Amino acid sequence: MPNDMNSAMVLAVEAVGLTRTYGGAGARLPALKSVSLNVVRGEVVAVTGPSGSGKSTLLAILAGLDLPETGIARLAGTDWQTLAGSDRARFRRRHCGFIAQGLALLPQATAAENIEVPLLLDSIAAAERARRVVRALERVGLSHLTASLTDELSGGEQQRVAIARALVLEPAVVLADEPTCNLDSVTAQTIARLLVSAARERGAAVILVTHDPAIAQHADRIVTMHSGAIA
Amino acid sequence: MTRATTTTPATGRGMSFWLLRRSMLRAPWRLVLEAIAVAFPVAMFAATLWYVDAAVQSMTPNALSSVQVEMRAVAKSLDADITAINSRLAAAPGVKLAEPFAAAKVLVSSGNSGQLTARLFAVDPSYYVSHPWVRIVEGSPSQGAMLSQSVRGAAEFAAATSITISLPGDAPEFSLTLPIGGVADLREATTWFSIPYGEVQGDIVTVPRAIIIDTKTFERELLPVLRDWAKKGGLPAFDPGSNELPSASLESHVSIDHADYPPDPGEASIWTGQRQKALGRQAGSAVIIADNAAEALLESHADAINAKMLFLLLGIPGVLVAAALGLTGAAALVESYRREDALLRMRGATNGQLAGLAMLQAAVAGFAGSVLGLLAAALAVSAVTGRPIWQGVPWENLLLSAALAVAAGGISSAIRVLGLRRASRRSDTAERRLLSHGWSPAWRVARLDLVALAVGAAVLAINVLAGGLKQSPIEGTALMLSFYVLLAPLALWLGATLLLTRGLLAGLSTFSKPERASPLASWTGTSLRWLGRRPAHMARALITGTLAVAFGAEVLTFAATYRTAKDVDQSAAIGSDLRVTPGDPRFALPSLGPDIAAVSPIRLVPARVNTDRKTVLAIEPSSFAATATSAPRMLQGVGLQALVKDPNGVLINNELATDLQLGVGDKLELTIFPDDFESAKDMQLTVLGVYSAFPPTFPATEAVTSVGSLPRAELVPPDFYLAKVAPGRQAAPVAASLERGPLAQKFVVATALAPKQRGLTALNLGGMSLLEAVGASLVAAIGVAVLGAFLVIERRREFAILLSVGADSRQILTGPALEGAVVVLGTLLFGIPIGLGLGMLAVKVLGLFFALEPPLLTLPLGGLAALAAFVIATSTLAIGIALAAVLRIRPAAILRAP
Repeated sequence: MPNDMNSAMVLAVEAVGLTRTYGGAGARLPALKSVSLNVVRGEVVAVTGPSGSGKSTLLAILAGLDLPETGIARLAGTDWQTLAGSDRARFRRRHCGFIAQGLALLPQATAAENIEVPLLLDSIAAAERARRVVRALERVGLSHLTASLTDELSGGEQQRVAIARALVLEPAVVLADEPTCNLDSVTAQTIARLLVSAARERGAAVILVTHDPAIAQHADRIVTMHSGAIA
Repeated sequence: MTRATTTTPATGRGMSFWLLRRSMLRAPWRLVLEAIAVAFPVAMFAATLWYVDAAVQSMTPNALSSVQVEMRAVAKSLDADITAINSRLAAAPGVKLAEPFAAAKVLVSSGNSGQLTARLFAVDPSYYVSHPWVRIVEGSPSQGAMLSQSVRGAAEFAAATSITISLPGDAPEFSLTLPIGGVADLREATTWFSIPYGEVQGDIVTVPRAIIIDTKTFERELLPVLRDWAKKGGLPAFDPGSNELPSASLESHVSIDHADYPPDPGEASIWTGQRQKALGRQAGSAVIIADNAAEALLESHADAINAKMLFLLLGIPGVLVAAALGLTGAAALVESYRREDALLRMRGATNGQLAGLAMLQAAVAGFAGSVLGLLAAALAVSAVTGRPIWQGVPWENLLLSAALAVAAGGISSAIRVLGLRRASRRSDTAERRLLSHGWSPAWRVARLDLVALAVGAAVLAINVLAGGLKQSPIEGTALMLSFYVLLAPLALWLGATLLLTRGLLAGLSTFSKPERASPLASWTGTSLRWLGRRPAHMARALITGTLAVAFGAEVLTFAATYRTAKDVDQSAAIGSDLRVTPGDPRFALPSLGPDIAAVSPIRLVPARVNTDRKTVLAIEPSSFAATATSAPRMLQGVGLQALVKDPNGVLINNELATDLQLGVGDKLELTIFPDDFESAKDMQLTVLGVYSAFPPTFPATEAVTSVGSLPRAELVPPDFYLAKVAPGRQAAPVAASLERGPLAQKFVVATALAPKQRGLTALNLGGMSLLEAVGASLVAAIGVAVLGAFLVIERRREFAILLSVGADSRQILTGPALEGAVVVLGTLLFGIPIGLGLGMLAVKVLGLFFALEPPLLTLPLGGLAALAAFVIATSTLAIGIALAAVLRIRPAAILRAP
């Protein structure tokens, strides 16, 4: 999606001049160097780049799981710096679906319970939760695996559950960190398509971190990072 | 932050040390945890053994406290130069005092009165000072002969100012008249009336009358005549096998400082035998040395063995649970070691190098933990015993106990390291598979809970059927305690804990089955459901905590019941609220006023059954029933009621019943006043019952009968009276009031007696109970801390995922807090009842050491509440630290990791 069109739309994600450095006083490693990025509602952005380029750090800051040293990270118009404690947690579950790298599910919970967790945390009534869980499982094609524990699911099925969980509260933004890693190419494509289409159905913006160009092709826009900066 | 060295040595031992250094620098807390895992069992074992050593050391002084004269050198002939022998003995090393003593059977009279048989004793005036159990009641030995109270009480001597001594039978003509210097109370001077040697050494011969003169007068006036009589063959020759007091004897009474005896009664009994031989060599062949301390020390030695078993019964579970804590702790390190091993393998480390590294780490942790454990044990035991451990226990014992403790720590460490190595080789996926396949530890598969319960029940049943829990005198008051009886509580302790844990796990598993799972109801319910699906760490902590709390509760309960039983023993020793003893048998008991509800006179009647001397407790059944406050412990027949109905009946103790093979309905033939020519009488009484204890239990008596059944006994003044205070009155103030008022100067009123408690019942369990209960609480708390450490180390990713889906701090902490709460509550709910049950069992097993049946259980409510509060407080602290660490996790970094 062209940039001049974006400006006329509602910004789902706004990152301005983000910097983040790891390490102590002796050896400081810059992970982000003044990164800025805008994403509008409904837009799918793929962030690519080599290992250590700062993709996951950017995603963690956009999800409010980490804070930048300088710069502003806004999600659905709210600066993460202005939120703390349970307000920040509530804001995250309502506005930001997050899919973590690798094992993204709670191992002790069934597929249905994994999806139900954000609803339960948000005190949604039991009947409504049950309805939404059933719908979410149907949407990702896992209605038959409701009571399966994580270990009983294949890698692709696990990622479908993670996608269903990320979208179950219909957030404004979905942040996915390498959602297709460790999957075969066919399954990876299926998962990427599912993520993008499910997000678009809900009008959610998606930022998809991947190092796989084939997966990045599903995005409206591709952003490449190198050494902590957008190339 | 962690650091790693970059210079890698080539191969071999250098590589192992390099890996060790690297591992210690990267995660020093792992070494600390491992050292603590070793330190706990070492500390618990060393503390138990050292406390046992320290407690046993107190048994020799306790055993010797009733010994009045440690050694008696008895001349084989009256021609012996006892003065020279006495001087040689006094100069012997370790001898505190050697004093001349002589005794002879004489006749005494006053003026024109008839003659009475009496025992004459001759001692130096200094003897009264060094042996206060010869109590001067009136006058002074320097003014003449001292009369026993019974002589002074005889009508012939009531107003006499002089006494004439002569010799009985065919003795040469002899008459010695001496002024009466005063009156002495010889009721406590048992050594003077005890047979000095032979098989019946120590048996008391209750001679009714006695006089005391000074040694010089004896040697000048009487000894030449006795020698002459002996030469003529009239005086019976020295007979070491006699069961009578010698007609005449020359002795040296040797006092040995009790501080010189080795504190361990086993060593002391050997030492005293060596001392007896040494004194024999010093004194020469003219005397035989009788050792009065040997029997008490041998008895105490037997008790010391039982005391060690008692302490081990109480202490071993603590060591086991501390070792189990190490195994539980290892589980928390699995994830950390798995990561470390994977990293080292990636860098080229071989399995052999990793195994070498594990052994080196175990050795370093073992050394540090052993030092830490021994220091903690030394401090703890010194604190509870009130003196540094190295001052109370010989060095060789200290070192042996320390070596045993370190060996126990080493064994537990080896088991732990093997488990750790096996677990760290297991893949992460395999760990997660436990979720879908359920947790099935070896004990659950092997049904160890049921096996342990069956073993415990079988051991108990066999013992009960074999009479193992009944009192069985082996010799004197020594009792045998089978060690395998003590296995039953251990097996039941483990079995009950595992069975309850199995039940909890089954309940949680049913509640949390995925296929039965209903929609989530609440966040707390969800956390509980998830806990049911992976209960391994919670169950390990619960088992450790339950074992620890059960152990602590058992020790506290047993110690409290032990204290109660000792109090009951003391109460039984006195027999009622008060014991009123006349300073002189001649004193008549005045009216005691309204503070006293009932009074009953007690007479101790000497008797002989076959050749053995016994003491019969002669009571007035009707007044006794109204006065006694402790019931007898009857083994057969009935007690006091039978004596009320049958005045010619007798109750006998179980030792007499066993020796003579008597039971209810049999006849007991005895001679009362056997050593009083004028009063001796043969009798036959019907056995109405057999008892193991009949209060008053002090002094010990072998039979109880009605005073009415014993001719002449009623004429003898009571030895003491039992008095029961009126309802609502307290014994101590009443006693004080009586001593100030109607009984002033003439009677002694006792409210509690310290009976000659056997070594075992005199042991102080308080310190042991404190040590073990605190240790148990710490073990339970550290079990929870290990669970907390596991939560922090292994579940970080899970917490990060919850954060990423929008859980707040409270919601994140709900799961681990619930897990900690289940462990702490389960630990207390399971542990305390199991502990009480074990306490009851321990009381049953050890109860045979008490005079009366100990109470079923004394609940130390304060102690149990303190135990629970300590466990809750320390566990809350431990889980609180873990929860704080959970809140400090950095989700971005954790989620970034694959």
